[in-house]
Amino acid sequence: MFSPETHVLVVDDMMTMRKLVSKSLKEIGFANFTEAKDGADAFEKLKAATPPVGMIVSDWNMPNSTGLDLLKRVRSSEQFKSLPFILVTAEAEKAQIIEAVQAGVSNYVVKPFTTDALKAKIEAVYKKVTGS
Amino acid sequence: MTEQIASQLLLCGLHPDNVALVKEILPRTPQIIIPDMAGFENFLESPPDVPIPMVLCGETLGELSPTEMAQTFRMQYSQAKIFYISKKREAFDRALLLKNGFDDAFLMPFDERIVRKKLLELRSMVDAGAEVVFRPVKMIDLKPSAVIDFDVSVYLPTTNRHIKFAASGEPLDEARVERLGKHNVTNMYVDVGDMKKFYKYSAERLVELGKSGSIGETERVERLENSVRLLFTGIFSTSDGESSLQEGRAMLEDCQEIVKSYILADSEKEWYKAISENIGTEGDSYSHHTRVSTFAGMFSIALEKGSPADFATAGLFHDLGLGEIPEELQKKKYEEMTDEEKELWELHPSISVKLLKMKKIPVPLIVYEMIEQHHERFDGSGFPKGITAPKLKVESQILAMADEFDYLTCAEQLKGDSALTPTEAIKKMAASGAFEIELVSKLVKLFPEK
Repeated sequence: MFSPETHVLVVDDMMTMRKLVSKSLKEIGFANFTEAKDGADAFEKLKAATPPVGMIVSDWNMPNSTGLDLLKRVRSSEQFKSLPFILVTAEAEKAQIIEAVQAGVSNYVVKPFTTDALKAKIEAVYKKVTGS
Repeated sequence: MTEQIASQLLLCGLHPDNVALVKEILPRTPQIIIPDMAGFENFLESPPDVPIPMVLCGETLGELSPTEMAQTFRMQYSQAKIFYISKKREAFDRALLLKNGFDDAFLMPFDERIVRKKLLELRSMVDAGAEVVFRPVKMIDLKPSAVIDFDVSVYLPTTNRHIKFAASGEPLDEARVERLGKHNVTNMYVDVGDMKKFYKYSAERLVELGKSGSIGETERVERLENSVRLLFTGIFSTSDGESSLQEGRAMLEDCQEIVKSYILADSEKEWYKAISENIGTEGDSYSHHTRVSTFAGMFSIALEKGSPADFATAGLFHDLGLGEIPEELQKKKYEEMTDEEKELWELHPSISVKLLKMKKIPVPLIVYEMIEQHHERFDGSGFPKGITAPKLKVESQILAMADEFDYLTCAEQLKGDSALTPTEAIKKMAASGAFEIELVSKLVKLFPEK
């Protein structure tokens, strides 16, 4: 499922964070990215993406439409409900992670995170999805 | 042979005046300066691969929000201290900046002294082995043959040099100590990296002087009073100009740390440790509640009344209830308030107690009493109840004096009037009849007229 060609949707209202997350993903081995600035923008780009998106990495706290809103929308969509979805949270939001788990998040990573930490989270999702 | 890579300081969007300040204090520490968005984007593409112990962010990169800066640098340098330093008063919200990822935030020029201190601490860390950075301090109660665990120097203005007075670990030379006393030298100098040792030394001296022991009672009390008097003199430096305000503030901070060390030397005061760790960051050092806390703690030590921990705590929280009073009213002088406004204002001591109890911070009962009574007066002229002794506790009176003392000596508190010198303030308090004369007269001894 995950390969260098996997199309990753990176969602964050901050341009710098989108760049940093994309940079980490590049270091892990991914090469194909689309960026979105909030949940609403992300869902539009998800529908229009070519090739189709293979994984979403989204910030939690965004104006207009949060990462949790996006997650719920993705999970209730027949087309996208099985997409691996990783939420990026701040330390203060950790207490709310149960809400994300109930909404079907694949995994989460807490800011600030290293590339190795993100890689470990993605590998955990991969193992769960492939059963190996 | 492996070459050690030098640490560098990262400055992002800092106002030119603040960049100049950094260069002044850290002339030898290499700095990476990001002056604009183009520079920031270059940084994102290829961040420098060097140790960065400190990042200073400012307000000049308009397109980039402080939150974005904090989060970006936190991702890149998770171990670094990340500070926000701004000259823009309008948009400055310290609590929000801390919430959004900065270790601390400073508004210039008000916080210049703290910024200098932070940079000097960094310099001490980064430039290890380089030239010593000296801090002026008040060395209390120097005893011949005593062994101090840090170097102490004196400054010779004729040669513009610092000369070592005592080396760490060596007994103090009796003749030298005598010469200091004879020439009335009170300012000594300590390496900024040794400040924690200095605070510990000062607190230990005060604790020792608080116990009766091998020296006579009269001498013990005199040396204790002299020590506290010396510390107060440092806070209220009589030098002219801005440098004295900065030096005074440094001494105030030193006294806060000494009072804390003094209290924490008593291992039973775990509750105080929990409180002092939650007080807030250094940006609050010069606010009314921290000054009153320090003064009240020092009065307690000097007067040998009550527990300095109780006083320091009561000082910290005595005006907590003011947060419930409308801001416009807080800016008004009491004498100019209407009757209704006074009635509202006079609720703040009991609101402070209520809020403190709601926070479930385990403080001794006397702390609640001191806070409740801090506006009562010995002559019955206070509020909310107009009580006097014996219902009015001695401890409450001392807290009230610390509160009034700060009010009279601190221009920010006076809402337009001129600040008094410490001696003038104590004299005014003595003349008012509002405080027990026996207590006030003991304070007078701490601030002798020149």
